[in-house]
Amino acid sequence: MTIPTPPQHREPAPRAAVERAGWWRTNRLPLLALLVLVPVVGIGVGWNEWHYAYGYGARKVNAVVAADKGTIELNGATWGPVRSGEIPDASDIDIPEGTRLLAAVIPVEPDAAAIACAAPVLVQQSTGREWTPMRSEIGIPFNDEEPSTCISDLADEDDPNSAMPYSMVVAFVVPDDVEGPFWVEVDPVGDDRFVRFSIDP
Amino acid sequence: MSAPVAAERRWTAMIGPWSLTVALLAGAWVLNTVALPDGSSEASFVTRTTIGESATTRNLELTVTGVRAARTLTDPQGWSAGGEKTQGTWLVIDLDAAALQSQYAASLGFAELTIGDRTFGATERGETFYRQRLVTGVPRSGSLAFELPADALKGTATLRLSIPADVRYDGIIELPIALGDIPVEESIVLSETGWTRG
Repeated sequence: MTIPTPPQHREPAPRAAVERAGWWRTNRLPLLALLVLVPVVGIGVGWNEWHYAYGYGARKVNAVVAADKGTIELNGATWGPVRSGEIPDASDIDIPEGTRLLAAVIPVEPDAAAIACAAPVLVQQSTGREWTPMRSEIGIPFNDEEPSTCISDLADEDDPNSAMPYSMVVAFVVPDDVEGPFWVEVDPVGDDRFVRFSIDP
Repeated sequence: MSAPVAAERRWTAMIGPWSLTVALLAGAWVLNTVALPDGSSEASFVTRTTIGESATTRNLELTVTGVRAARTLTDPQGWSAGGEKTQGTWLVIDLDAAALQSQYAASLGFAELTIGDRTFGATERGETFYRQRLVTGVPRSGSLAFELPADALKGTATLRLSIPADVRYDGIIELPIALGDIPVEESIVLSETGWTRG
């Protein structure tokens, strides 16, 4: 039995250099984890906040835009084509100086059952400023023939799937200096999208 | 000889902890002094203005055009309240208001008058501008009415107006009203709510 030769010690590398290269190597797993986790946390928090504000359908973000003079199939109805225009000065309509009255007619043809929706909104495309329909405020009394929101008239009272087509008629009081084009937006209940028509009366 | 040295060493060893204690106490005192009161995080953003001066906050632009007071109040529809039976005073605020960005849910939903440590809400009786619709970019006019005790018209009141009924985190318009300068009429009629003319 011989005594084994003791292993030869190599000259150690300068300590500082080892520490520099070694730190990144020793911590490569946490560093990789950071590289993944930092963006994941950012995206997660951002998505959570976005979902809190927009995720429950109160503020819809997905517009379905109609082609020019076109119609849209959405949520069990055909919407459009929209007609719009400026109502020429009529003496029996009460609007102030410096404003104009824009009107839009939106045909709605339910496929079967009636659809509920919020009243249409007029949006200036360049600024996002919004107007909602006016009626009693401008001296136009309520009229069954001109609903300003979705209605549910049935052709056959006993058949809920016999909703009749109709047209929403809405008017907006807009300052003279507000220029088009505008969106007319209709938000049907039961779909996470909304209908959008471009008008420039 | 060794006892005084040990005592001195003990004394010097205590400088560190004690100065740290003093520093922490002082820091705590400073923090406590500069910290805003409870609820400040949800405080309203206040825009101050005066009678006749237009002011804006978030989605609201308004101008208080006049302040009146009377024993009896009548609205344009003929509803009436006050008089000798109630012994109270009506303070009437005439104003023009418009929405700036969106007409959606835009109405004058918050109107409070603070006199000293008492706060009064705008009346829901009669036909006033309270909770009436505002139109984007097109001002409408009307009156708000506050029913006050007979002795309330003294000193300076603060009127606060906004769109949402809950004004936490939201903008409000605030203006001072010198109550002593307002002549108390026997009877006044509220302005009809409608488009601002002229």
